[in-house]
Amino acid sequence: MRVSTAQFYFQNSQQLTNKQSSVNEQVNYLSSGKRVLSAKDDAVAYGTLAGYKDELANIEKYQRNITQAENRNSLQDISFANAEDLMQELKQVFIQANNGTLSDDDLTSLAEQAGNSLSQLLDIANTKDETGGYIFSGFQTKTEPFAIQPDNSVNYQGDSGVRELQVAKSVNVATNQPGDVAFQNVRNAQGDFTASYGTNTSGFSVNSATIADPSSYDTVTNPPNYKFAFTAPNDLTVTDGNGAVVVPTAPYIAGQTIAFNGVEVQLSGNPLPGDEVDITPEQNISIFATIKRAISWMEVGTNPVDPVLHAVDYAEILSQVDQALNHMTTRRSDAGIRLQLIDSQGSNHADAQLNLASGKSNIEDLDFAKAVATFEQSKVALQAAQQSFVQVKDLNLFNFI
Amino acid sequence: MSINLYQTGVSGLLAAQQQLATVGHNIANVNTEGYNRQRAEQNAAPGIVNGGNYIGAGTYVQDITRIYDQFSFKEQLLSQSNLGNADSLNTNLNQLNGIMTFSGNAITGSIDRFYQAMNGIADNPNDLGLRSIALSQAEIIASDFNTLNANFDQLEKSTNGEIGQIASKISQISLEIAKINDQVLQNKDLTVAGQPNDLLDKRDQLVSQLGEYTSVNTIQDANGVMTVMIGNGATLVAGITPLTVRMRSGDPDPLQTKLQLVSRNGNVALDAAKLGGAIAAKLEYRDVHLLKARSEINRLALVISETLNQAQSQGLDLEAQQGRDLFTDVNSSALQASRVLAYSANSGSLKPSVNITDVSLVQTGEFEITFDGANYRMNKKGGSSVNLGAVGAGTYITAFGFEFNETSGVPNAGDKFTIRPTENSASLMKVTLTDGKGIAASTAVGANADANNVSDGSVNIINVTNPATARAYTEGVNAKLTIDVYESAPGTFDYRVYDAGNPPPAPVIAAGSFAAGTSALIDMPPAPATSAFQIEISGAPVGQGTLAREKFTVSDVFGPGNGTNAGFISATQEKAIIAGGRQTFSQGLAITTAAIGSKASSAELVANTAEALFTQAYNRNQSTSGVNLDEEAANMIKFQQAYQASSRIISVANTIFDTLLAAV
Repeated sequence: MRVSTAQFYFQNSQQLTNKQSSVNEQVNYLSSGKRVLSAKDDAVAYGTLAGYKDELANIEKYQRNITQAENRNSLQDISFANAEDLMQELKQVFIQANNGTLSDDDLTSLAEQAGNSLSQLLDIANTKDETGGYIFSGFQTKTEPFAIQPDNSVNYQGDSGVRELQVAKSVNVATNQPGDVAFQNVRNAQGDFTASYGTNTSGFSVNSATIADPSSYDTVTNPPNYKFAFTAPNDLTVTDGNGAVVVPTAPYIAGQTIAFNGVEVQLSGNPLPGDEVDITPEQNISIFATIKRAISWMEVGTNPVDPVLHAVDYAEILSQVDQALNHMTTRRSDAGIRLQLIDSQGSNHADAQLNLASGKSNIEDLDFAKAVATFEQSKVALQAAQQSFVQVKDLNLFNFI
Repeated sequence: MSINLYQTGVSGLLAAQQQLATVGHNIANVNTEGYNRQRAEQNAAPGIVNGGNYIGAGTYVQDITRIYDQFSFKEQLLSQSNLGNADSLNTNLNQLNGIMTFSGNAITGSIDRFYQAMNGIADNPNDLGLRSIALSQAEIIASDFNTLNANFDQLEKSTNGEIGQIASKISQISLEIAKINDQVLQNKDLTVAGQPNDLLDKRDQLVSQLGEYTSVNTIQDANGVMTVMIGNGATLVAGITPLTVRMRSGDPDPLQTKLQLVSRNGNVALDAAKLGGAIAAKLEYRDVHLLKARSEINRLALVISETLNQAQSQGLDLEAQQGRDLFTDVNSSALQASRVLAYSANSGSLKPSVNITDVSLVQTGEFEITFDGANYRMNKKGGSSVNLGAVGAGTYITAFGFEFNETSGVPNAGDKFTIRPTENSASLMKVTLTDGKGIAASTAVGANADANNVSDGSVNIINVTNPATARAYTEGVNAKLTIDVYESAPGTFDYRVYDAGNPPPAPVIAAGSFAAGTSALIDMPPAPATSAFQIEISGAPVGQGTLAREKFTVSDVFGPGNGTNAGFISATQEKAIIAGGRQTFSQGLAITTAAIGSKASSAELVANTAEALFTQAYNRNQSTSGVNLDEEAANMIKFQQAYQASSRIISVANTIFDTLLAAV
C-alpha cells in the first residue's frame, strides 16, 4: 500500500502515544499496588469491593464495641466478685453472732463489722467507670444509685435501664446490670410472701409461702395480707385482708401444705393456740435491707424482748443472707456469661475479618508478578516503537540527492 | 522544421517546469492538513502532417488535478464524526468516573467516621467530646455532598460552555464554506478547464472539521457548489447562503441548553440526539449521564438527611428535648418548590411544590405532570401516564414517595411541569444542629417485661413521633403504663393498657384483642389525642388466665446514660433504605459509582474502536491522496531530467540552426 509521509508520522506518533499511555497505566497500578483504582477499571469488582469494605467497617465497629462491652462487663464482674466476698464475710459474722456465749459488747462489735460490710458493699454499688458514670444506676449514670439513710436503709435512685452495644449484626450485648436487678431484686427466701408474726409462743415459722397457681391468685376478691390464726385445740383459720375467711377453721396437722386462693404455705414447728402470723406479698428483698435487718438483729444484744421470735427471725435472716450471697454469684456469672458471648463473637469476627480481607485483597490487590510482566512487555513495546521510528525516519530519498 | 524542434523543446521545458512546480507544491504542502496531492496531467501535442507523416509537436499540461477519492473521503468523514462522538464521551465520562470514585470514597469515609462517633455515643452518651465529634463529622458529610454537587455544577457549566463553543465553531465553518462556495462559483466563470484544487481542499478540510462536531452530509452541484447538511438532514450551508447554530436556554430547565439553526426565515430547533459527533456526545453526557449521577447523589443526600433526622426526632437530647433535625429538613419550602420546574409555555398561575413522604420509594428519574383540563396526569419519562386526580384537591399522592401539591394558583389545560424529586438535596444539605448536646442519644420510653411472665410475648415501643410528650404521658399524666395480655380464647389475645397507679377496676386507657401470628399496635395517648408513640405487642403472650396475665411496664427511660437511640441512629448505617429498601448508604453510592465506571469503561472501548476505524479510513484516504516525499523526490529527479533533456533539444535545434547558417 502506498504510504503518505503525513500518514507515516501520524501513525508513528499515535503508536508512541498509545504505548506510552499503556506504560503509564502499568506504572500507576504498580505504584499503588491496586488493580482497581477507579470504578472504571472494573465496575463489577468495584461494586463487590464496596460490599467487602462495608462488612470490614462493620466488623471494626463491632470489635470496638466488643472491647467496650468487655471492659464494662469485666468491671461488673469484678464488682460482683467483691460483693460476693463481702457477703461471705457477712454470713460468717452473722453465724458467729448466733452464739450464746457472746456478750453484748461482742455483738456490738460484730454489728459494727457488719456495718462496715454494708458501707463497703454500698461503695461497690456506687462504683464509677472511667467516664465518671455510675455503673449500677441504669441510664441515670450521673445519679448516685444507692444512698444510705440515717436509719441504715438504702434507697435506689437509678432506673432499670440496660445499656446495650451491638457486637454483631443482630447481637446486642448488655453492658450494665441496673442497680435494682443487681442489688434490689434478690428473691425472697420464703417465696412470694414475707411473714410477720403476732403472738408466737411456739417458735413456729413460715417455711415457704408461694403463689403456686397464679391463675387462681385473685387479689381483688381476696386481697392480702393473709392472717393465719391458730385456735384451740389445734385449729387453723386463714382470713384475707378484708377479714373474709379463705381457709375455714379446720385442724392443722404439722407439716401440711395450706393451700388457698392459688397460694401455698408451709409452716415448720408446732404452732400453739393463740399463735398468729401475717403474710404480706414481697417477691424481692433488697440486699441492703437484709444486711440492715441482720445488723439490727445483732444490735438487739443478748437479751431480746421475745427470745422465741428473735430465734425465728435469725433463721429467716440467715436464709435471706444466703439468698443474697447466691444472688451475687448469679449476677457475677451473668456478667461472666456475657463476657463469654463477647469473647466468642470476637473470635467469630476475627475469622470473618480474615476471610473478608483476603477476599477483598483478591479482588482489589494487584498480582505483582503478572503486573510486572505486563509492565515489562509494554516497556519493550514502547522501546521497540521508538527505536524503529528513529531508524525509519532517516530513510528519505532526499538524503541521497 | 527546426523551428518545430525549438517549439517541441520549449513545450517539454514548460511542461517539466509545471511538473516541477507541482512537485514543489506537493512537497511544500507535505504537512498541510487536508491537502490532497496534485498531479499535472501531461499530454502529447497533436502531430503536424509533414509529407504524409505526423510529426509530434511536443507536449502540454492539460490539467492539474488533485488525487481525490470522494468515497474514501466520505468514509473518513463518517468515522471522523463517530470518533468525535466517542472521544468526547470517553473524555467526559472518564472525568466523571474520576470525580465519582474519589468523591465517593471521601463520602463513604466521612459517613463511616460519623457512624463511628455515633456508635461511641451509644456506649457513652454523656461524653460531650464524642457528641461534638459526631457533629463535626456530620458537617464533613454535608460539605462532601456540597463539594460533589459543586463539581457537578462545574461540569454542567463547562459542558454548556463547550457546547456553545462548538455551536459558534460550526457557525464559523458554515460562513467559510459559503465563502468558498462563492469563490468556486466565480472561478467557474473565469476558467473553463482546471479546478481550484487548493480551494476545494480547503473546503473539504472545513467539512472534515465540521465532521468532528456533528455528522455531515454534502452534495455538490454541477458548478462544484457544495450544500452541507448536518445531523439528520438540517441544511447548514445552502450554496452561498450560510446558516448559523445558536444556543438557547432549555425549557423547563434553563441550564439544559438546546441548539437551534438560525436562518433568515426563522429558527429551527436541532434534535441534539441525532446530531452525531462531539456535540451529541456533550449533550448526551449532560442530559443523561451527568443528570443521572447528580440525581443519584441528590437522592443519597436526601435519604441520609431524612433517615438521620427521623432517627433524631425519635429520641431525646441531653436536655430531655425532642431531637431536632441534624441536617436541613428535606421538606423545607425552598426544597419543595425547587423540585418542580414549570414550562415557559404554561399559561396558568399554578405554583406547585413537591413534598417527600417516603425516601425509600424515591426514584432518581424525572417525572412530567400535565394538566389535561380536568385531571393531572403524571408520567415517568418513557413510561405510561397515571391519572393523579382532579384539579383542586390540593395534595396528590404518588407511588414514588412524594406528593404533588398545589401551593397556589390554578393551572390551564396543557400546562406542564417537570418533577425532580431529589433536586437540590445535595447542594442545600447543611448541618442545622449546632450543639453536640442536641444529639438525641436517649430514648424516651421503654417497655420491660415482668419477671413473672411465662411466655415469649414481647412489647416494643415504636414510631415515637413526639418523645417529650411520650415521656410526660408515661410518667406524669400516668404513673407508668402497664400492659397486660392473656390468651382469652385459643389464638386470641386480649390486652389492656392502664395507668399503673390506677389499675383496674378503674377504667383502662386502651383495650382490645389480636389474633395469634399478628401483633397489636396501640396509639399512645389514644385518639382523639395525637399519638406520641405506639405500643406494639407481638409474639404469643399467653399468660395463665385472667388473674395471671403477662405484664409489661412502660416507663420513662430518659437519662444521661441512655444511649439506646444513639444505637438506633448508628444502626441506620447497616440498614438498607435506598431504592425500596434494597441498598445501604454506602452500597447506594458504590452502585452509582460502579454504574458510571462501567459506562466510562465501555465508552473507552467504543472510543478505541472508533479510533481504529478512523485510522483505517484515514490510511485509505492518505494512501490515495497523501503526499509521499520519496515519491516526490523521485518525481523531482524525473522532471528535472526531463527539463534538462528539453533544454538539450533546444540546444540541438540551435546547433542545427548554427550549422545551417555556417553552411550558407
